[in-house]
Amino acid sequence: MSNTERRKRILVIDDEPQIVRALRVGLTAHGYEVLTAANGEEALDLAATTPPDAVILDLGLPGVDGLEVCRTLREWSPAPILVLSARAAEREKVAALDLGADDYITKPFGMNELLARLRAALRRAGGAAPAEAVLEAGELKIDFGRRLVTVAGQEVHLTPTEYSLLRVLATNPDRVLTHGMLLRSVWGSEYGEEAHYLRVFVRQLRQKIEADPSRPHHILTEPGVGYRFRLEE
Amino acid sequence: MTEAVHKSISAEAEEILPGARESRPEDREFMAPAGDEFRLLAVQLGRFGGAAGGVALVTALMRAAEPRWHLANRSMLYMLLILVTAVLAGRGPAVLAAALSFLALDWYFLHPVGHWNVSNPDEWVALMIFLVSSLVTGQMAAILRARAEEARQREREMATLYELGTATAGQVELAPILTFLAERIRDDFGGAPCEFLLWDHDERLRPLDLPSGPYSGPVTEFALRSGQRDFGRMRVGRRADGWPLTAADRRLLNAFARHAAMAIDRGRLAHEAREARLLRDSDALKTTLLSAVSHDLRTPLAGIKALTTTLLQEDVTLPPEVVRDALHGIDEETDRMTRLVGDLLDLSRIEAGVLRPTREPVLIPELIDDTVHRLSAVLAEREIIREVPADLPLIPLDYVQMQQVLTNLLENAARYSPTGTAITIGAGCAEGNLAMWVSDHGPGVPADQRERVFDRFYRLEHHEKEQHGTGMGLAISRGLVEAHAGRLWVEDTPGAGATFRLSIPVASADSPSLSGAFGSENASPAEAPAPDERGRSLGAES
Repeated sequence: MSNTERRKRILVIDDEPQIVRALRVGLTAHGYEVLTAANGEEALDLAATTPPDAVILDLGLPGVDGLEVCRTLREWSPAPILVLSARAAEREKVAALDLGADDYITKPFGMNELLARLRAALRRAGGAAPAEAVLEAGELKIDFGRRLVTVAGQEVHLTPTEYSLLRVLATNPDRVLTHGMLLRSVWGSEYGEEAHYLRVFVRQLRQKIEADPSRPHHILTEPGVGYRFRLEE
Repeated sequence: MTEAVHKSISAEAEEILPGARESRPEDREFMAPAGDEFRLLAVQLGRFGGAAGGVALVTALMRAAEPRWHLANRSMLYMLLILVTAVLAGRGPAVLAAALSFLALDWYFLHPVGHWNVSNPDEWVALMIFLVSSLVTGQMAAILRARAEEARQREREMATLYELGTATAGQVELAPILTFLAERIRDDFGGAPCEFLLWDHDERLRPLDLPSGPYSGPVTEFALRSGQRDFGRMRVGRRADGWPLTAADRRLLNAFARHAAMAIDRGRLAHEAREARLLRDSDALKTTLLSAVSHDLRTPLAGIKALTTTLLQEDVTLPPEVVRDALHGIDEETDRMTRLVGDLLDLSRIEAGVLRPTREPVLIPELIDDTVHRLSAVLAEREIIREVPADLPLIPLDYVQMQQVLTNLLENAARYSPTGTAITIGAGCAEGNLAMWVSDHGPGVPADQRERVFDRFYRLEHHEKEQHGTGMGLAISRGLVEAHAGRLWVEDTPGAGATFRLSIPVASADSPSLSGAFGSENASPAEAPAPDERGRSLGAES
């Protein structure tokens, strides 16, 4: 982030003052401008008048439901949404992601993790990644133009389905893709519920591109939610 | 009768039971339908008629056969008739037969015939002697008959009561007892139908749904009473052969009703005992929760408070490495509290029965790899042996919950076995069950504690050494496995150590086998269609 660039504005929507305070301290220290809202209505007003670069949204809001805020915001705001959610609320996380949230973090969370997720979300929104025709992540190299995948210089032969799956994952790096999203984008809109296809193909893909498939480095499982492609070492 | 019906009756009875009311003075032991009195009277009248008819028949025969018979022969023949009447029809008809025979002798066979007066004084004496001796003989025969009848009846009652006693003793389940009673009544009382009605909360009688079904028609009603409690009524309908119930029948049926009432009372007591036990259990849970909360939560809190107040001191300047140490300490303590709170929440969800698994097809090798991977810090110095066949089918499980189960079991194994020893994690599928196990080579679990280790907070009473577990892991694991309709238990590892083993039934229809997908690396599995190549990518590539 250079000095000439405008400071990124983050809208924090949470009704718990302790969390808001902690986020304000942490985010401000890292050079972000922080706006806060304690409920959904206030948040939507604020987002309309002062468009944020990213939104951190607690799903457990009083009044307008967090998911509703997510849906409404997504209708007109391109800002990535990072959802804060309680433990063991996988359904809620999946619902938020399917409604257009970009990522989630389970409370209580570490500041480092939150900042990493936020940076990844802002980078994706900034439109830096998609122009690249070749993606490199450690030993793994994907040439989208030539449909060529290599691991440590060795070409890996993938079936069309495996390649599609890898492409969808790799073009959304560091982002959680729900089972439903992956199924719909790889197999088509009618396959949202067929989670077992995905299990099988993810396993095959890991065996082909991971150095140790039992300790996957690129394709990470998000329990009960989906998968995440890790770009950074 | 099926188990399901038993269950529903028991539930129904349990629902009604609190409606049992105090029995009242105006309540009668039983109430027969009005028609029955007349029917009994008719039977009795029939017997008297039979006696009179017998006398008429004998008289007619003697008049036709031999007009010159001796008086003694005639009176003997009448005497025989009176004896037979006494034995067959009892006391009253015998008296009637004696009186009629006396009159018939006088009218038809003593001089002057056709007049009541007797001319010969000898004959008059003989007639009087006949009357007295016929009455006495008839009475004695009737008494003998009644005694024999009574003895037979008593024997039947004793046998029935004994059977009832043995069949219902110790039974707490209400439905089988009532069904048994209804069947016995049907068998012993000429197919008489029987139903049981219990008082509900509004003091209305509600029938229990027994297989004998409801019966419409005249019924004799028996109170279901035990001690001071009145539970309802037993209704017995007509016998299939139309005979009304005699006084002895009613006595016996009343014994049936008492047995039924006792069974209902036992059921009520068992129900109350169960309620009390539940209350006591939840009380005990609250107590252990409170003690755990006060101890386990306060410890990390104390640490956090001490460290933060150290950092906030204004009169000293702390060296940067001390500050970092303190912050790391706070971080660790909060992690510990996070785990505790999470486990407490899970435990309370399990106790409340609201933790339902969201099943989706799970690849067991992926689940195991992912779990072991996530625990790499805890399992750092361990050799992890995987016993996982490659051809396991996809199994519908709640991924997150099963991961928690395996995490708890692996952490437990790491905690209770010496550093450096191997831990085995395995899975298999046989006979419609998924089996998974985690084995360690620690000291194992003594046989008498194999159930107790699944108690909440067991560690607290057991281990002096400060362990980092919450003492809830195994209880939660068992709760989660049971939410999958499975079982979790501990046994010995051959050699030494503990093996925690779980078994979860798997509906084969829900686990589509894609084992073919693993064999052919370069082919799309037949079940999974190739992707639409026009591309519905989420990504920017278009």
